[in-house]
Order: sequence, then structure tokens, then C-alpha cells
Amino acid sequence: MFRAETGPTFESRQGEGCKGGREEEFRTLFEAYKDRVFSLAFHFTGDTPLALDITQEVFLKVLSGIGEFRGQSQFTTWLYRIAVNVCMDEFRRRRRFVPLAQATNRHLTSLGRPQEEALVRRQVRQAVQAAVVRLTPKLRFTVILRYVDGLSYEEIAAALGCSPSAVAARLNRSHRILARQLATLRRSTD
Amino acid sequence: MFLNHVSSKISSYCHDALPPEEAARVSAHLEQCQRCRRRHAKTASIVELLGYLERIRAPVLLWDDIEMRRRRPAPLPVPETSTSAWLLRRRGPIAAVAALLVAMAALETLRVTNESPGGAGIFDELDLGAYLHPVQAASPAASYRALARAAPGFDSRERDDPLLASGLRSVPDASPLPGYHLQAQHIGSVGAHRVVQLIYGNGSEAFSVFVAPASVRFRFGSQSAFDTVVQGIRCVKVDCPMQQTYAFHEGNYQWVLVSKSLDQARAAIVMRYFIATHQREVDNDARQTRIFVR
Repeated sequence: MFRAETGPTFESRQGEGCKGGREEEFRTLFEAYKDRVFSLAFHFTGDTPLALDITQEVFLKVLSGIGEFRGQSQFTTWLYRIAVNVCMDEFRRRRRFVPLAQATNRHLTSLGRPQEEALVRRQVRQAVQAAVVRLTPKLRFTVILRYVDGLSYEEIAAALGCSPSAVAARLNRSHRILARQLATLRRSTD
Repeated sequence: MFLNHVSSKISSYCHDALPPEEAARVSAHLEQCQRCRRRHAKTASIVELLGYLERIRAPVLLWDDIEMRRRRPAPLPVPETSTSAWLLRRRGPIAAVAALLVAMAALETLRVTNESPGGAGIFDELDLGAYLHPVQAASPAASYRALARAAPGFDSRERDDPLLASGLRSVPDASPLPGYHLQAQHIGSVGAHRVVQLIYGNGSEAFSVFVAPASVRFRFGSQSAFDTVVQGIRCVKVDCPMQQTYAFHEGNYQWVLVSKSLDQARAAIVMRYFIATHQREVDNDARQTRIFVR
């Protein structure tokens, strides 16, 4: 599972560089975190163009607000908070997102050949993504930060502004809901 | 015997996120409680399925889109709070500001119209009226010639011109419609943006597609336009019976399809083609077939 590849030194150096308004520093920071932000937005919305818009908005906010970053928390925590807020703004604006188009929770059959296995894997992934998009925003963010970004309960709590025990409760609830939604899939992949 | 079921701890247990003594208690309980064991098995399988979620790489051209947005003029400041109570308390000042803004917008419109009649104006607005007008009453042969020329204000460039020099990163090789081929591409500047005109023809019929960033506003001369849905595609149709002109968008890009003879079904095929081209790019397709304007 993916873990943060950039330590505090990198983060503080990048943050300071951006505060100074250096274009190259911002570009480096963008390159380091763009996949993380885009993934969060995509898994939250299930919609690629919308995820692109959100990602752009997040980095524009980072650029305009980097002066307010005090370094009291990790840069990634600050970045996640901005990303979560932009996602929520978009969610409120649209009230709901269009679910992933081709994702269906259908019975899957593996025939064993490599291409077919890859196809089944892709179908499973799409079905899981679609189920995650149907969770409530709070549960969705928790699941994404845990499973896509591999954050610990404490890191998720810091990013979402809640306690680690709330993170545990949200994950527990998410698992229950997803177990119902993905029941067919669970049986077919067993 | 099992007053203390551990169902609320099972997710944390699966994630190895419990303190050691708590994990030992859950483990001991699972050995004896069938109900919690079933629950654990279910959760473990969901944890495994969620492992299919993966980080997705952002499109390579995302930085260019951000740069484009950074260069846009800043929008007018908007109040931070927007609750109905806040609005109610300030409805007087808001109405006054709204009236002032409307008046300013009207003045700006007049200024744009006066400064650049019929052409690409300031404030990122492009009026296609001078291009659309000759198409309206033209015969089929004349409309072919009218559609196949560059829109006023657009540089004429032949198809073989270097793509990068024209601001066009890449053009899809395939045609939106069977039998039609890309005949020419023309470049126009609208504010800080470039707009590309692609002309497709089959020898007797032609149609144009204008590609622009979403921040460019299109106008259609004296013709009005209305929102509509063409075969499931939300778009704007220019209100003229003598031509089939549609504006549609996807993400940060928009297109205007100008044609004389394409029926709605074929217009929808063209629209879907460009929307799909854009989506293919943002879906990290390695072929990078997106039309990119800067």
C-alpha cells in the first residue's frame, strides 16, 4: 500500500519555496502531489473531468493560500484538508455525482487466461469504485484516505478533523455497507 | 456468555490498528463466537476488495490547464457566507450592488460591440456571426465554400503546418464522420487564448468545429441560441433553420459545430466524437489524442 514518499524536510522546503513565490518550487510541489489529489477527487466523484476541475482548484488554492500554512501540521494534512473542502464544495453544488458509467455490481466469472483475468480485475475495481462513490461523503473520504492513500487512522483523523476513534467507527460502518453492496462480487471472487 | 461482542472492533482488528491487549481480546473472542467470526470473514473479504482501489495518475497536461486558469483575470469577490438569513439582512445592499453590476455589464457589452464589431473582441469573447451569416441562405455548393474557409480573424494554415507552431498539440487522425476528412485547420486568438477551427469535408459537404477553452464565450451574430438536448447530449443550438450549429462542452473545453446539412443524428455523432476525444485524454490514454488549445 502506498505510503507518503516525502518527509517533513521535503514538505517544509517546498512550502517555504512556494511562500517565496518561486514558480519552480510550486511546480515541483505540484508534481509531487498531483496524483494524490487527483486520485482523491476521482474516487470521491467517480467522474474524471470533474476530478480534473477539482484538482486544478485545489492547487490554485494551495498557491494562493500557501502563505497561511504555518507548518504546525504536516503539509500533506493541510493539502488533504483543502482537497476535502474543495470536494465538499463541489458536492454541495451538484448535490450528487454521476456514478461511474460502466461500473456494475454483476457476477464475474474468471476464465483463467491472463487477459481475461486483467478484465475481471478491472471490472472488480470499477464495481468497488462505484460502490465507494455511493457512500456518504464522510465515509467515502475515510475509505479513500485509508485504501488509496494508505493513511493511518491518526493521519486520516488529522486530515478530516475528527478523532481516530471516529475514523475507526466510519471504517466499520463503511465495511458493513460495502459488504451489502458488493455481496455478489464477494461471492464471485471467493 | 458473549455479552461483549467485538463487531465494532473488527475493522480495526483487520487493519491491525488495535492496541496489542485489545487485539488479543478480539482474537480470543473470535475463536469462540460464530457470529463475530462470520462478521470478521465478511469484513476481511471487503478489506481485500477495497485493496483493488489504487492511486490514479493525473493527466500530464494538468499543469497546462492550471497555468491557463492562473492567467485568467480574478473573478469579482463573492461574500464568504451565503445563508438565507444573511441574504435577508442584506437584501437592500445586495440589490443595489446587483443593479450596479448589471449596469456595468451592459456598458461593457456596448463597449465590446463598439470596439470590435463582428470579430474577436476583448474579454475572451468570440463572435462567429460573420462566419455563420453567409452560410444561412447559401446553396449547397456555396455553403461548402463558405464553411471551408477560415472564420474572420483566423489565420489560415494548411493541414501540413507544424502542429505545435499552430498551438494545436495533436489532432485525432480519425474523422468524426465516415467519408469526411480533415481539410484544414485555422488558428484564432481570443484574449489570451487560442481558438482552433477544424474543417472537415467529403467533397460535397463540409462542417467546421471550433475548439476553445471554456473561458471563451461564443456569440452567434444576430442569431439567438437556446439550450437543448440532442440524442442525450446537452448543448446549445443556434436558433437558425438554415444551419445546424451546436455549442457543447466537456470539462475545461468547448466546441462549436457549424454545419449546413448535418442532421441531428450525425451532429450528435460529431459531438460525441469530440467529447470522447477529450475524455480519452483525461483518462490517461497513452495516445494523447486530445485537442489542446493555448
